[in-house]
Amino acid sequence: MKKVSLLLAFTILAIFLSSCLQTLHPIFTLKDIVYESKLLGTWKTGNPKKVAIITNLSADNTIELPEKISTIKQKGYLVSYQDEHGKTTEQYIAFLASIGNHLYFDYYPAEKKDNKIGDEFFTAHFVKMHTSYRVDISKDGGFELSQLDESYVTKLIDEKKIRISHEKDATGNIVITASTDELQQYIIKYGDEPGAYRSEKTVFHKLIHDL
Amino acid sequence: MKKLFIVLIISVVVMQSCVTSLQPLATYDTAIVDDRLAGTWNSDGQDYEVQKFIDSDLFKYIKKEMDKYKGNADKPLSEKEMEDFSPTLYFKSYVIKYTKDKIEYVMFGSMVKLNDQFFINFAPIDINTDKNKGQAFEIPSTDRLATHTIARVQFTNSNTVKLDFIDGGYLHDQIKAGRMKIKNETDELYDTFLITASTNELQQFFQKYGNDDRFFNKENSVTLIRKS
Repeated sequence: MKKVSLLLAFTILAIFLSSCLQTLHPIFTLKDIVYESKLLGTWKTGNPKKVAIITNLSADNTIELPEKISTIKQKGYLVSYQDEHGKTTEQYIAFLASIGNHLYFDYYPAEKKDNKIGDEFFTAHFVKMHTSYRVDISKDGGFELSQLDESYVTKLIDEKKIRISHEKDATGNIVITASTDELQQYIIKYGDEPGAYRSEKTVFHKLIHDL
Repeated sequence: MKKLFIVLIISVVVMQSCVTSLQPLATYDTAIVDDRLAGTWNSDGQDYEVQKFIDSDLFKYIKKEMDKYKGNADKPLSEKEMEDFSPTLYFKSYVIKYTKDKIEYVMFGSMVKLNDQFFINFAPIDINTDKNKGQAFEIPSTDRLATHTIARVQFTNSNTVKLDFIDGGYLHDQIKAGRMKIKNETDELYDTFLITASTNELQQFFQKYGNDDRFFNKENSVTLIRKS
């Protein structure tokens, strides 16, 4: 029996169950932000039980925004995923950024101001992380999201092929603490490397035009 | 004037938020077990059940799973065997359970003594909701990082314990002004502030500042009164 089995049993809320790259810092600075109004609308996601609704971030004042994000909300998006019953299952504050040769979405979990559930003390132990996707806009008006892969970065770290700021938490998981500048250097270097992205892509086709 | 206003807002935001640490303050080798912690406590009408890990339902569940995994139901592992097999911090920790709005929260509490002062490290474990009775609630595991919070522990008497949590605003301001040094990550755009110091560095930091009352937020102090 491996020792790790007990450790795994303890860490019921293991954070990095998925292999998508989570970062403590955003991938963009204010100068990198671009705004594409063609991304607004209701989108099919390839999953028949899931649609994405993308609105301008300033159009929804029910979302709690960090103070500085509030000042640039006109340049941001609110991405809401809904299930087949029309129930919102996930919401993200998103900014589109031009980094290197590509456009990227930075997703950050969104919460309602007045509808916070869960004990404040307990939930304060969970720090929100950023998730990043390369955005490829197609000529037919749709777009494709390719998510940066965490295992690609951790392999480079393990093989000492990359220097990117990170920490190991108490359970040995790697937490990427790289600054925005470091993250951008990584994206510029590996942005055209197919292995740097998860194999499954999400293709968005428009259902309803501009909201 | 506008700049000052923004600075004040940021200070307030940081002050209101808990200071969280990536690493725990306690380790298996430094954690201490203190029987004064176990029991049922109350603070402002809220009950908290505190059990030694090996007395908890969580331990029983893990033990059952390990025995099942071992495939030897006739000879289940003893508590000592389990601890020897995997000497993790949790064996010297407490399981804290409390219920709010029909949601049960489960956390680990691990205590250390530094310079004759007790500190407790809190870490979240689980949430239990009864979807038929209460509202369904879960923390998304894919875009959140589980961290630790730390409080100073003062045993006023056998029936009263005071927990003083770190004043986030004070710590942030001191670090920013270069008056305190501890490894951290700060993102001004999203108001993220996370202590990333190692457990050893954290312990040194608390040895230095653990008796400094300015370091603890009076508004975030919790007084627990023993119920049983």
